[in-house]
Amino acid sequence: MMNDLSPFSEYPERHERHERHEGLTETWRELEATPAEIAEWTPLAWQLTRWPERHITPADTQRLLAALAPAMPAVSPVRQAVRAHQRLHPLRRLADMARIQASILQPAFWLASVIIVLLGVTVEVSTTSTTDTSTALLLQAIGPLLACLSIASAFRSTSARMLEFELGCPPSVLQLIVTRLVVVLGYDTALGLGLSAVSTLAGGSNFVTLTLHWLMPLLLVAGMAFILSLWLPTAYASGIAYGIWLAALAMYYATALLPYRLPFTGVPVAYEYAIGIIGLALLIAGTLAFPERLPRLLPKS
Amino acid sequence: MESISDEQLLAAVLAGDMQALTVLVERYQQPLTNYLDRLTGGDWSLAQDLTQETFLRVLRYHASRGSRPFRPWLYAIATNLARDHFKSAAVRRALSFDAPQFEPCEDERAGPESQALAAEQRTTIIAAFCTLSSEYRAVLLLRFYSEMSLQEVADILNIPLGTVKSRLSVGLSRLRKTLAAAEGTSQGVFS
Repeated sequence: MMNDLSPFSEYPERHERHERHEGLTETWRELEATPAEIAEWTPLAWQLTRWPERHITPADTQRLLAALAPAMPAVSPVRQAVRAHQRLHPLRRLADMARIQASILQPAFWLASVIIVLLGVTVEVSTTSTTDTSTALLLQAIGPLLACLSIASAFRSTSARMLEFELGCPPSVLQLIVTRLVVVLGYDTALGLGLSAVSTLAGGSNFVTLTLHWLMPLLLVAGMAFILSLWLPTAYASGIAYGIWLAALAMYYATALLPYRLPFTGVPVAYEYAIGIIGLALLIAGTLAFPERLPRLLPKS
Repeated sequence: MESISDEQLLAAVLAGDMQALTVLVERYQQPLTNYLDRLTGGDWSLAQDLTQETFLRVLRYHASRGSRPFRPWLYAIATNLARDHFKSAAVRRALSFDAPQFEPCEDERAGPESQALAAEQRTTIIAAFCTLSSEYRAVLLLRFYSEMSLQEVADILNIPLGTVKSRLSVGLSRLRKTLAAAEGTSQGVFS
């Protein structure tokens, strides 16, 4: 039995004593100790659990930390900055990435996009015969032009020899591509919505219908340009995509306006949806294929 | 940061986070130094040196941890360092477990006679404990002082579970015999 005068019996708290007693019981069970052994060993084990501790002083801790400091792994300032960035909220990180991606676009892109839309608005408002068909044709021609400009501007970095630098950045190539597409197409969409609003106010047309006229072709041309940019310089890819769209548009209207097809009411809504879906599919396919095409895009030394 | 696991803290330390190192040191310096103090027969200065070397090895050889939990790995390093220390011929010659010096830790509520008795008995127990070889001391300390499971002890010492049980049984029996011989058969310390 425990002796009350045992050297380490400094009146332990009841729960602490209980926990340790349970721990000892478990140990004796695991050791398959006999009752005689338990009677002999328990006081000894109890003493070991109650062995008085020496105390570490704050000075001891400071000395130890000072001795360990030189052995700490060296971390480069770049890595530290990356870690600090990773500690930010995901939304904040996304906003930062979008801001950085937006900053690589030349001011000419932002300005040219606004000018295109303003021209569209001017033509739309000043035209005397603002029929639904002419409005649709104008929007179907202007929307893709914005996409053409966007793709050419956003992905020019491959030819500007920035790709190696970007590959060394913490975000993956996929993240960069998606962010960049969201930035430029988001900007275009915002401008286009402004154009739709003005057209609606001026002509009394349906806002959603007008938006479909330019948004769906914009997606299609953006998708085509993006896919083509995997093999061609972005300026050529954008130009070809826009050219194909204009040619298709011209052919459609030319065919539709033949006398025997009158009255012509424009491109059916179902077609416009189909065009938009195809455009989205091309954008997704291009986004997924882009990282695999990177070796080809890297500058040759 | 107090609620962060040891493994997370170590990851932060390896990423260069000095604050994480401070927390890790504050968490383990006290128990580890006391464990080594007991393992080395009450040499507090040596225990502190070994603690420092243990943490240095944590920083230098962190890759050797693999997927092991931090605490058993830390104690394994410390135990191996103490074992290496004992292996040196010079230490074997100089080491004496006869009368290790421990700081007094008397119960203030006990009277002077009780305190004197307790101090004497403590010295006897500690001296008896220190006559055990380091293998037995390590097993007894890890299980009863550091309160680790038998499996953790086996992992730390890199020995089979059966060997841990055997060493515990033999260690306790030897300790009991040593104390009985020291105190006489009729007036044992714990009887």
